[in-house]
Amino acid sequence: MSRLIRLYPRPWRDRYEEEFLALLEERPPTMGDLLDTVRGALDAHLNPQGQAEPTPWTHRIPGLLALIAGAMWSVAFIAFVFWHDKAWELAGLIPVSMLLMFLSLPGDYMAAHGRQIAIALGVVGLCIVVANLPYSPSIAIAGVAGYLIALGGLLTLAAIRAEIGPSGRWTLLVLAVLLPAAIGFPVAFGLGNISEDETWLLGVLLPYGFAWVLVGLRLAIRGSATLVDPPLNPIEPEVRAA
Amino acid sequence: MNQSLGELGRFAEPSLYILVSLSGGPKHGYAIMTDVEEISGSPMGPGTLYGALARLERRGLIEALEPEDRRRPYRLTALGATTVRAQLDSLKGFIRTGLARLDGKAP
Repeated sequence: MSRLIRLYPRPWRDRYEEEFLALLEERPPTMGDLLDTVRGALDAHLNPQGQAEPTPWTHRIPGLLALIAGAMWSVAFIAFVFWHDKAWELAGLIPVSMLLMFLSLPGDYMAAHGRQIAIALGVVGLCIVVANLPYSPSIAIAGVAGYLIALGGLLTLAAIRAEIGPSGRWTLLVLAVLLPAAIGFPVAFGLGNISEDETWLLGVLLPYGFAWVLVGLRLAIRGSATLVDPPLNPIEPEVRAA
Repeated sequence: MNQSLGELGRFAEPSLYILVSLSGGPKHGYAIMTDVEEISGSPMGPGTLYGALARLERRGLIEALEPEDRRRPYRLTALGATTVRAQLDSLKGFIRTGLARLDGKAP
């Protein structure tokens, strides 16, 4: 039963896990309790913080941006590999999707996004320069590596702002940057009928786009402005025993 | 001033039971569950209990106290007391009307 608690989101567990487990120790859980706990976990994900007010539509903007950006990124690289004749027409989607990804990063809307817009414009400018250079895989690799480093830096800053500990920040970085490649390479090698360069592209970059789609879906459905929820119903220090 | 529990959707009825339970004094989760079972005649699952507690706490109708061992008691706030009284008054009028109609004493 205690494993089912892991289904709940982190802020919920930080606030209620101990007392919830204490309750379960006092009463042997029934099958109905198991189902009720699963249902409660689903509710905690869909209605974070138990908000009464409908989520303002503006809270879904970061999620929708991430969703669109991930889709554009994925379409561009699928086109590059499977429809060579359309590849360069769709290449413009890549800098646009990069811009949207930066804009969708967790933050406090416009104040934080102002800085991100500045960085994103720099990235777009770099992409335009790279696109006009004679094609060179090493330049492309350097560009993507620079983008991932900038993204990693912004994610780390966002995580520090959300008061996530060092181990959590490393987990976030690994999930955002390395995990897509770890999953994507075996998948790309399994596809066959594509060249070594295309395998590299699909293996690293396509799962990266899918990861942004998933992040976008999560943010948009929950209507959350941040990847990490703030603490749930924090206990006020002045509260004392009755 | 009081809040409507209707906006809590499927948590409205469990929330009312919890507020009534806490009207008798602060209680922790297990004590609320057993009390609600006595009041309503049907058990309340742990997921429903904590879903309702989180919502009530968020709205300032109840507040958490310092934990005793690992169990954290909750108590009714002034807003919670006003809200549960208004809800019960509303139900009282509803019951009175229903019974009067059954007895043929009201249209």
